Amino acid sequence: MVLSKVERGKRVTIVSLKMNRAMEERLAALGLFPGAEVEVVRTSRGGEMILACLDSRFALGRDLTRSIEVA
Amino acid sequence: MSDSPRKVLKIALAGNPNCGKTTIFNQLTGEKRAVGNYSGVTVEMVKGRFQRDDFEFELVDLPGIYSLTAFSRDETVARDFLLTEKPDVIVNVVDASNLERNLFLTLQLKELGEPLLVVFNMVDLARERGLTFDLKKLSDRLELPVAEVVGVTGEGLDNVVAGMIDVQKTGVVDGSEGRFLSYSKPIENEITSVEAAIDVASAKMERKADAWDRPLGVQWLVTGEFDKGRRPEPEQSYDQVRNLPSVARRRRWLAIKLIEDDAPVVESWDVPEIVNLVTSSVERLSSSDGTPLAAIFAAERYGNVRKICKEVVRNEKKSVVKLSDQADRLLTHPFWGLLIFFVSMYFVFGLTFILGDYPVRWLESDQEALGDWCNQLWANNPDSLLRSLIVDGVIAGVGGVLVFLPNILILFAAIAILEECGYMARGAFLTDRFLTRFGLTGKSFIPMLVGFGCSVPAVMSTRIIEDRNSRLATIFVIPLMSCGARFPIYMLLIPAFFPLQWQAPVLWIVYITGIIIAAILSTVVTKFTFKGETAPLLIELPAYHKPTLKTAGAKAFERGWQYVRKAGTTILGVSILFWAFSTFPTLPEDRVAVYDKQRAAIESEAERLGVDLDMLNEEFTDEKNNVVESSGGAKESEVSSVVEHNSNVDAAKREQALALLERRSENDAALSEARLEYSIAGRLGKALEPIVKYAGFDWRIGTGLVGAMTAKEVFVAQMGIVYKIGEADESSASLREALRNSYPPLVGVCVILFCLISSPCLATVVVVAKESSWKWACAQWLTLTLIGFFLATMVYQLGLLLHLGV
Repeated sequence: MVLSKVERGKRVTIVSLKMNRAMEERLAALGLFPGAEVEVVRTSRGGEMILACLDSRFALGRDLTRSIEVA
Repeated sequence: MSDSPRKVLKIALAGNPNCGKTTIFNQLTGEKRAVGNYSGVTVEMVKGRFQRDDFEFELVDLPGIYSLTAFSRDETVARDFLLTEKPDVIVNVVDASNLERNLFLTLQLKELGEPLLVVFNMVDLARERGLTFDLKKLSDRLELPVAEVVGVTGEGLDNVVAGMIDVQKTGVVDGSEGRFLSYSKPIENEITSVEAAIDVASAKMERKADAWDRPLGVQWLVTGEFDKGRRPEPEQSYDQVRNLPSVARRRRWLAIKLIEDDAPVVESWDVPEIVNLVTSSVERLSSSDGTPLAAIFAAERYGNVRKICKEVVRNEKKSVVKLSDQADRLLTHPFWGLLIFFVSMYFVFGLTFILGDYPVRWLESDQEALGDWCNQLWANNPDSLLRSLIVDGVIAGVGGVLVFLPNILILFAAIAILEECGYMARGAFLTDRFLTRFGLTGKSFIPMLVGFGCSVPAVMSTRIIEDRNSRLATIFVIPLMSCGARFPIYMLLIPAFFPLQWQAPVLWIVYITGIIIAAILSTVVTKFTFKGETAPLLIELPAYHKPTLKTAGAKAFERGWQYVRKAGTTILGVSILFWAFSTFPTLPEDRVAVYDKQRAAIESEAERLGVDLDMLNEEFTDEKNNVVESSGGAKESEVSSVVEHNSNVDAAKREQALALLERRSENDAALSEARLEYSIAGRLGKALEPIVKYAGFDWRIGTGLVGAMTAKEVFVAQMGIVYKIGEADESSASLREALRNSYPPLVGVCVILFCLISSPCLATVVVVAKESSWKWACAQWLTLTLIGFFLATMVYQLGLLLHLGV
């Protein structure tokens, strides 16, 4: 399912990224690549999210959370 | 001259954003430099030097980066430096409390094949979280030397220095590239075959100048440097150097980057035999879902990092809920978080005003005293041009700007604290939804917030925005974030036209107005210029930490010093220039004589009464200064208090004397006005009057606004000169009074509005041009000035129509 639909506090695994290549590479460099586990720390109505990945927190805009497929 | 010259070591500091790199840089070089706590605060590379033993260390603090792709400008800058400047040692600062993501960069730096030292930082923080590390094993697995340090205290810095010297001596240790660092079998196979292809191609290309002259082409492969126009050396063929370890390492790096489809590398090697081979390699490695190979490589590197961490890190306290996350529950809440955010912003400005008011008053009285003291030096010749230059040009100009320094220091200290404790990044998250609506991103928030301090660093900090369109749109509206230099204008005008209880709210409204106009403008710009194509938000939220007052103070001091320096040089120069503009050509003698005659007549009348007008004036001014600044209507009571004060003098006589004093002041003011009208500035202002009068401005304000085009704060200096010529009292309280007496509040509002929106200062225009293009800078200048004028006119005409504030 799409990451933006995931509830707060859930741990999910990234399945695929559907965006331009540069952005996919950037996310991968931060540890957000297909197969990586992330935890949703904060959701908001607009779809923006805070993810916990490794020991960092990242804020992602809604365009990104809507383009990440998770399981 | 007995000492042999010290060996210079070029050191590059590389690491993730927020890894403590800049703190270590400051500790080593002793240079006080601002340490920000949001991604990408170090956009410019900062250099510093220090000496130890026989070495002179030349340190370069690279921008904080997550990886070595050429994704953002920060990464490009850092990578280009590492690839082409050939530092003697790369020092990779690693944040122990976030080891996996930091080691990801370490592996890539290692792949570069240059001498590398790992500095293990923030161990104290990691220990608090219950993490322990086996650094010997880490060094062993990475096949790299590791030095431990606590950046904040400087503990272990000697090891770092010793490590740099060691690494420089031994160079790269060629390890076995064992199971901890290599890629999976299929990838390694492809790398090997691409390496072979590079070998073949290099041998063919080495003699061709155009192939040799590509940035990451054969020349770089052979020498590790790139120097355009340098010819290949005929005595060394590629075959002779191909087996050197350094060449082999660079070849491997090139092969990886070719497979990753890294743009600059692919461009340098776009020869058919390589392109074909790489294409088929990529096809074999690609997965069905179209994940780019760079992402697959990233996943593999993270896999290696995880293997290393498993052996090296021990977590003793399992699943501790971090304080930072708890704080974020409230602070990033869509409603409460945003509320807290806006309240804290309002608090920052309130603090600036209330706390800043005291030192401002002290400074004002000091400046006044200095002006008076100078005036006394020319007591016999008050019309002296030199006196006028020093008192009205230099002291009034610079002093009028300096007097606002306390407010600026407080504002910057507050912003620095917000930056340092990590709240800024949360602000970016909270504001992203807003900002994307207006064609910007959450990342635009940081440059825009910096814009409240000064547009120049703000425009430069837009480099953290990878997306070009978002970046240009952000640059376009940054000047609408009311900068610190415009602050003196508000500080002058708001108290002049508004009672105390309204001052803070009006200032707040001014700032909000700027933000609203920025929102509208950025929407329009993104929609019509970029067709709505912008990149989404992606920002790291660093763990909150306690801001140190020292750092905040240092940053406030640094920014304040920048402001002073600007005030001391540009502003002084411009002030003097404008003093000259407003002094020359001087009023012809015969016209001055008319006023002089009238003055003499008034004075002789005073003599007949038996009062010394100068003494009376002094008493009057003293009395006025003692009365707490209040609204304009208090004059009557001031006068009577003076009268009561001197009981020996008959009240009626006193009344007469005061009337004479007033007539004399009016005569002096008329002379000043005549002089200014006759000057260049007056003529320029006059020439503009037919246009600016629609916004309620007269030629005096016009003159000030012309000055404000060079630098915003010049407006205050200019208004000071416009109203101070021939007057002894230079406190801005008296300037406020002069303004209050000359203009209705409506005009004050229009001036504030125009200053807020129009014509970004000269420095901003230049920086915008450098960061984007002259076309963009000019478009911005014109657009903003026109909007400013249009809105000021609208407000003025509407105010006139509704009889508001006239």
